[in-house]
Amino acid sequence: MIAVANDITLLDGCLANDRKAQKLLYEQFYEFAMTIALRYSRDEMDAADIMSHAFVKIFKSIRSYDSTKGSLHAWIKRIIVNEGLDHIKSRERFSENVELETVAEPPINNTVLEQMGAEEIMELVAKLPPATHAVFVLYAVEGYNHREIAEKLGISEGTSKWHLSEARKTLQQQLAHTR
Amino acid sequence: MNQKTTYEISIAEKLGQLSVPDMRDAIWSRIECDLDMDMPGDDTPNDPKGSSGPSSWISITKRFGTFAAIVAIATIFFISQKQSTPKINTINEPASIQHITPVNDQSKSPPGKNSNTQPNNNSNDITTGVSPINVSDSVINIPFVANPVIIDTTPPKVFAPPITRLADPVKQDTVPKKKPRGFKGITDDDYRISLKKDSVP
Repeated sequence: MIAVANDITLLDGCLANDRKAQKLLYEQFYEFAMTIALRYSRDEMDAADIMSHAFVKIFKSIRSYDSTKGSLHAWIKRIIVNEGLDHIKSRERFSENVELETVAEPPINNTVLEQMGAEEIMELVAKLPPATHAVFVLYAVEGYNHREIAEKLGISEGTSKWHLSEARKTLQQQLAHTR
Repeated sequence: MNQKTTYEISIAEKLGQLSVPDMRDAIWSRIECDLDMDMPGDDTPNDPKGSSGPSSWISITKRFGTFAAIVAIATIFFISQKQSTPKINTINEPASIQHITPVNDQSKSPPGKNSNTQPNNNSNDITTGVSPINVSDSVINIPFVANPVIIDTTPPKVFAPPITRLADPVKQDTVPKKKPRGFKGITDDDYRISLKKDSVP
């Protein structure tokens, strides 16, 4: 209840364009938002870009937030993810040339993954081509299905599947090298 | 198979454990800079009172006061400029110019009586709406006796200074003659020095 009351107070302050309230909201959601931003970034500087653009959008469109439709966390997460995808799109134009009906599952030794740290895995993911990177994170980490990914990225479901297949293959090769 | 693989679940778990870099202040300064440009607030970030606090009202009052003062000064300046501008009645008022024409027929007005100086009630002779400084006033101060002047009431076409028009009717014979002095029969020619044939050697 206290957290909800604080959120409401912060929201009121943000609605009034109060910088102190905006900074408090930003600090409250910093770690949560930064974790999401890092998934769509190649490095910390990319994540900082995503964060700054996303929070400016959050404060500008704070009036459009409707608490009856979802939590503030979910609303902020959606904005961070969309900003992350925009950032990836700015690096590469998503191609529609390739499509797949099914995605193959290359054999990957899970024990290797478990031995790796989060930063090492993040490095591997960040090395993927931008579109493949976006599809992999949306599918494997965020839990979207191919239809939702296709809508978000403006591509077909087959293309989304192809990118996932490419991500799996590339990760398999990279993990094979790290062994 | 379009299902999550075991390794993908592992990757997702690992990515959730990512350590977050401490870039709070650097990122906030960028956000604040963008916000200041796009949606500037009335207060600074260090101001503990919100934008709806009394400081914002004071700011609004100050701005309104400044605006009102500027408007008041501009109005006073405009009015004073308007008042200092000389009024020209003849421009806005109708037909205040009189044409004065001398009349040679002296039988209509007896000598010694200046009909022009007398107020004439006849609307046909004097144009109404004459300003205090006009032709008729100027005529009063001139010893103008011999030649009566009739004021023409026809609508004027151009404005002319009254003094120049008054100079026309004055004639030489109307100027009072000087009283002759000296002996009669002696003229100026009698005093003229001229060479004579006898005086030339």
